[in-house]
Amino acid sequence: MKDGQSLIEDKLNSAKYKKVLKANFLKPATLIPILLLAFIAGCAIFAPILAPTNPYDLAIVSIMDSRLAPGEVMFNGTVAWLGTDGAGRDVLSAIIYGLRTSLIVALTSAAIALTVGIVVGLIAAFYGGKIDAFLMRIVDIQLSFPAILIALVLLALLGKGIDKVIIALAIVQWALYARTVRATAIVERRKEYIEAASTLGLNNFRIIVKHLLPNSISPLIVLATLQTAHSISIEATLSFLGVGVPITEPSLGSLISNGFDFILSGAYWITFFPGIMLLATVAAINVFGDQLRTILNPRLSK
Amino acid sequence: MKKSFLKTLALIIAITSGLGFSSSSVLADDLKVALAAEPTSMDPHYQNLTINNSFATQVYNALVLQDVNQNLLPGLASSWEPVDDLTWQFNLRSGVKFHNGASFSAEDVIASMERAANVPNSPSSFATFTKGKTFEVVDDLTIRVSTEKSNPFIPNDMSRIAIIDSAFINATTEDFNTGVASFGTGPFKLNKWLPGDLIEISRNDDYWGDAAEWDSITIKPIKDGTTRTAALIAGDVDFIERVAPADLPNLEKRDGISVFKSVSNRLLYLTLHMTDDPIKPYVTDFNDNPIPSPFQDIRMRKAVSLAINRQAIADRIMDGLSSPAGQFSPEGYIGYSSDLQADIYNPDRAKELMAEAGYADGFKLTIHGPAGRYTNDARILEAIAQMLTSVGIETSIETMPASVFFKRFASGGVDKKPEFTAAMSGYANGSGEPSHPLRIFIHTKQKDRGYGPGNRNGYSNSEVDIMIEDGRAMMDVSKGMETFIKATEMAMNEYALLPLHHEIATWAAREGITYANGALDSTFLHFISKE
Repeated sequence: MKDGQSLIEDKLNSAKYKKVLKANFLKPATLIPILLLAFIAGCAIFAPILAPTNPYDLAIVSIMDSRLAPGEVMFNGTVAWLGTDGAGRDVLSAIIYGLRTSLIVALTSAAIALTVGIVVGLIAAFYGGKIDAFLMRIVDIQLSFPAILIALVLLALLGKGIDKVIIALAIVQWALYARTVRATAIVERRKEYIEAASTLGLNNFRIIVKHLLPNSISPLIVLATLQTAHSISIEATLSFLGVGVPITEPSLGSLISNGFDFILSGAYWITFFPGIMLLATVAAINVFGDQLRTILNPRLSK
Repeated sequence: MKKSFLKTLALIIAITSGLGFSSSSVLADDLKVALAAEPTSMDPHYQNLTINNSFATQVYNALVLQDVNQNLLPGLASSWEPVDDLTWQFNLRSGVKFHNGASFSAEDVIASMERAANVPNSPSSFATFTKGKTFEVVDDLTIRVSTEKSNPFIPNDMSRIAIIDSAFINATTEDFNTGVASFGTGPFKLNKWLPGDLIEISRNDDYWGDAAEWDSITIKPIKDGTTRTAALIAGDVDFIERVAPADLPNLEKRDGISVFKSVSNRLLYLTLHMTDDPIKPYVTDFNDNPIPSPFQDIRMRKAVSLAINRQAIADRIMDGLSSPAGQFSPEGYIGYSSDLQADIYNPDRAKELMAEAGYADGFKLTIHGPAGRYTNDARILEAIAQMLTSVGIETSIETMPASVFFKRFASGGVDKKPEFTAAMSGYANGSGEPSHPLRIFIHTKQKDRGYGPGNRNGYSNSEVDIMIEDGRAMMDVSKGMETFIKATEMAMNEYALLPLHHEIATWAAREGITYANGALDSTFLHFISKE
């Protein structure tokens, strides 16, 4: 009797699967987003080294530099290749740092939501009955409200700050994970190997963690990828609406929103370049997620 | 009859002499105006709200009128004077008729005062202007107003209350909204109100003062600034208020459009907490330990003021639509002191002052403010944070929705005390009563006496307090004004609060239309005229 973990390992080790994996990863549709994501992640991680100035250091940023066009020279001698925003921040540096904020928010909130979602989903699927009904009604209620509305209400209550945005996004997303993991787990729950495990007298915790979880997780990986892109967008929207990150430490969303005030007066670069970056990030993650689904879906990869 | 005959004659002459219509005569006698908001009611006593009050002046008169700088002018009272220290006499204008033909007399004044104070469900009542006053009819055209304490501002209070026909003393707000009761003595008659769509008023040919230049005016509420500009350019309207700053350069360059700007009495200011009771968490050393407010020292308040580049805020953030301020009143407005100027940006002097006060190494400060309440408020705070950080005060900004901000600003701290150490807020003198900003912001907080309700930083100077109270008891208004100006100078020199700028209000109109703008940023239709 093999447990779930080794089943997956077996699958990954099979020669046929390795071939499928290789073929899929070398396709341009997979390779380009991966390279783009690696580049974006690199920018975010090495922001302090890569960025020409520190846009969050108020001792450096000066409104005397505000709204310089791309290529103009700032007061301290640095060239603002992508121009400066309304507060005098170098847009290029602000994008690099903003990317960092956006990714931290998206990844952390996805991790929290994923954990909570998995726990709730597995408990619901394993125990069934009243517990399942109760937990799933909570999920239903949560999913019946638009995510952005819930996040807005939460932030109105919690106040501003990166930590609060992360909490709000985690609360918004957990239900989706819970629903997905429950759907897969409830199918797995009825299979013979789970029955075998419980007749063997294994305790519930072990069955859930060692057997049910590994076999229910693959759709979640895809969902988590797509949700990360989604939560970057939600964070951008929240910051655009002015309830997200602090104004002196803009994320991509707040940069776009700041620039919106100037778009009619011709200072397009404050909105345009962060917008392109947001688009590229979200698109790359989405395409990557789609490819991952193809790779992980046994029926599609034959 | 006679007028329309003359008009026809003029028309015939114009056509027969082959002149046709010159550019100025393209202007119809019907003016179309787009305003940023509309009144909440046509009942002039329903809500004490700027937009309601400024619209009400078209249809109704008060006993006393105000010009664009809130100087008092004769209205339905042709003159007024104090009889003794506790009583004012108002001599009413004779021969004035309401729009429904009823004659105006002292009874109407009594009825209006009574109704204004007692409108059911009023969101903000006019009772504040009638409170503590006894009204007495001397004869048909004479009214006396007496109070228990001497009050030189009774004429100001009387400029806030619209006079209605006494027949409608029991009319409901709905009666005014539908037009059943809405008869005033003002320069225009109310024709119709379609909420959210338009208001139509037409000239009162029997007006006692200078007759309006327009046969009728149609007012459309258009909330969005860019849409108002578009409506003006397209010719849908002839006059707009509150031009969106981004549209202003375009409108100024455009042929056939005139733009009007004036420094308004809307002030943006910074307030700094100046006692160490209690010690607040918003000023800390660099290890985040709260320290007593450094702003107890006048040198530190001055340092902050000198570190703020008001001109840069005007140029870079406000697109030129603000005027650096050093006091409550803009130039030309009541209570203005020519001896007070806005501080000139001087970061080196600021650093020197900080060193003298013992804060050479700086500290950490959080400034709070509303987001979206005042023009560019959040961006101004961001700029201030930059400026203060560069002289060594490491500043962070916390903005919040206005409703949350004002609650915490007033009573969010321990024991319902004001919460913040440093906060940015705004002020505009609504009633034009000259001691108002001093009484609200400068006088030591004495809740039971109505002094210092807006004094949130603990400023207290007994000398200034005495001057404010003395001035408020002087029945000779011009003498009182001198006292107020002296008190203002003393308080501003002590940085009782830090004025930042006055906003500049804007209007735009088609060529041939002119607007007599002043320090008030709301629009008064009877100041719009043909060139």
